[in-house]
Amino acid sequence: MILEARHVRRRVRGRTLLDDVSLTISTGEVLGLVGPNGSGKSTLMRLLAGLVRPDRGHVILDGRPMADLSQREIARRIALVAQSAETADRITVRDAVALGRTPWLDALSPWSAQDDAEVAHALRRVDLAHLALRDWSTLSGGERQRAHIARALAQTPQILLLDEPTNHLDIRHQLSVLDLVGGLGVSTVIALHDLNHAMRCDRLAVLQDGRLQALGPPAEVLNPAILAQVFGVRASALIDPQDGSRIMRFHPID
Amino acid sequence: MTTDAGVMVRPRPGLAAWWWVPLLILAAPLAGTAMGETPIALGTVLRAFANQLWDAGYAVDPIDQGIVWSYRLPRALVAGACGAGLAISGLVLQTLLRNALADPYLLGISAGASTGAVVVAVAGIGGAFLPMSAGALLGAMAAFGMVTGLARLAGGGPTARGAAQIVLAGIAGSQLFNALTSFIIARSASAEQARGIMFWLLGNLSGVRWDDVVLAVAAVTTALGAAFWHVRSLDAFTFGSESAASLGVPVRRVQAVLILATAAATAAMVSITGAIGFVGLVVPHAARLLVGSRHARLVPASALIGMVFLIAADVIARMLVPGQTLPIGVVTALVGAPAFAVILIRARSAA
Ligand SMILES: Nc1ncnc2c1ncn2[C@@H]1O[C@H](COP(=O)(O)OP(=O)(O)OP(=O)(O)O)[C@@H](O)[C@H]1O
Ligand SMILES: [Mg+2]
Repeated sequence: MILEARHVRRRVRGRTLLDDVSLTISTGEVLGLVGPNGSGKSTLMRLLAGLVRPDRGHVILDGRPMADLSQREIARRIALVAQSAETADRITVRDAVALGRTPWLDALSPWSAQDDAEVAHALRRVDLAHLALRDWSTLSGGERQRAHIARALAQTPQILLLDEPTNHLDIRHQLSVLDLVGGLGVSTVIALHDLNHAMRCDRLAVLQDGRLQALGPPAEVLNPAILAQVFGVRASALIDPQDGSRIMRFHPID
Repeated sequence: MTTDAGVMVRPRPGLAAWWWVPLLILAAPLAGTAMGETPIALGTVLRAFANQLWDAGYAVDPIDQGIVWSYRLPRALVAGACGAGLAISGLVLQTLLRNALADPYLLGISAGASTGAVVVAVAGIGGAFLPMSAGALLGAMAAFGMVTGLARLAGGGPTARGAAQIVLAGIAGSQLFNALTSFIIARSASAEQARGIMFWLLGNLSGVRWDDVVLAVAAVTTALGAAFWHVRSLDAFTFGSESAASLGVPVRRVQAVLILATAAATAAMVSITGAIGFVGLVVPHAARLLVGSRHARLVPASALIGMVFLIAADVIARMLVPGQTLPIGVVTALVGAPAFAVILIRARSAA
């Protein structure tokens, strides 16, 4: 399953939110999306999820233009965890995760044991099985975030789009979400703010003011020039004595 | 209950657990028929039915026979159908707009339907070709279009402030269409017509005939059918319409189909009974308290509660003041307005 954006542009009321962005997500890879606030990460995610149309360029899923696919066909292949999605409804965690089965069901094909199994599996993967019957309103921010990820997993997608999935998570669960994403074997696009976390992606795309500034392996992309130009920081690299990996400390440039 | 996978699941009751539902659907109109200022024994009611349906030939006082068959039964059936239909319409609008305060009355759809019906009935526009219910439908669609357009311009949406904008737009729409209705009545109706129409506008079940039963049942069947067909799509709106789209729901089409179905049902009901307030607003909230937020349960629960509520309201309307029948809208407002206040306060604290 390959997802591709070709020269996409999106304008809203005369403002260009995204301009001439081209990138390809190939099978099994984890592509990180980084950029300052308002750089267009969420906008690109929504384009890739087929929620909005580009007004120039195309999004192509497995060789077919997204515009030719029904919402349901897209949802069977692509799951999105949006940056913020809240509800005042009284539902259980399990019910919320069960929504992930929506693209596989309709009025004539009812809920089945397999759907139960997918939901249970998704809950266990994000470590929420013990909260399955809890009311949504009683969850902490991080637990909600994990439930949203479980909902996306229950969709059994081939491509996962995660918009800042580590928001609200404690450090252990941040790491476990990153590990989970790495171990899924599902093509993933993940928007992140923590550049050290971003280093764990297979490739990184850097957005600034709606334009793609760099695309490639993290170590190459997060070079001093990009860090200074896009993020306004300089980095000093430290080596973790435990495993020899490189960690960056950031300092503002004045 | 726990599966071997270790994830708790809720046991699902079998179909047999729902035996009381058809019983309730039969019992509620029956009770509504038996009760009134002059109570009629249940046995008499059943015998009158049997006489009418298969010429059973039981000895029933012809006056009782007439009251049961031509007056009270159609009335109870229309009340039940309209109660269910209004409740479903309110539920669907609340879900689609992510707004706890949405209902056909508050959003001006009922007012628009009234205007449309009055235009046809009084001004005679459309003449014999356009039935009152079709005029009501056009009015309902016009009102809904105007209100949503205004709400959008005013920044209405699923946020707390946006919810207020939608309701404010609904109030503006209601006022405008009510004023139009009054204007048409003042210009074109005779004094006697005007009195009849004013009474009807308050929500009124007097003079309901069997034709009306057919229309009301058709309306509620349309609304119920559309809602049942889309229960999963409605659930998918839990986290908003964008989340619904990412779950594969064709949002625009589902919204169009459901809003058209509920507006049509509302219009049909308004053309029979006038605008009955608060049922569509309050009943879905009561249903949520009882069965939770999943639409597979919420849709039938709202329909059943709405049916029972409006049949009961009609009985009260007939019995509250001796020798006089109140407009049913007065009774639903007496119950609904305080309930509305509670919902308003809760919606604030939830946001
Ligand atoms: N519907 C809209 N109308 C007008 N402007 C919009 C709209 N949606 C987004 N924007 C603007 O487009 C820009 C990009 O927004 P986007 O949400 O994609 O940024 P982001 O990279 O996800 O930011 P963050 O890191 O804060 O999540 C922002 O300046 C935002 O204000
Ligand atoms: Mg964002």
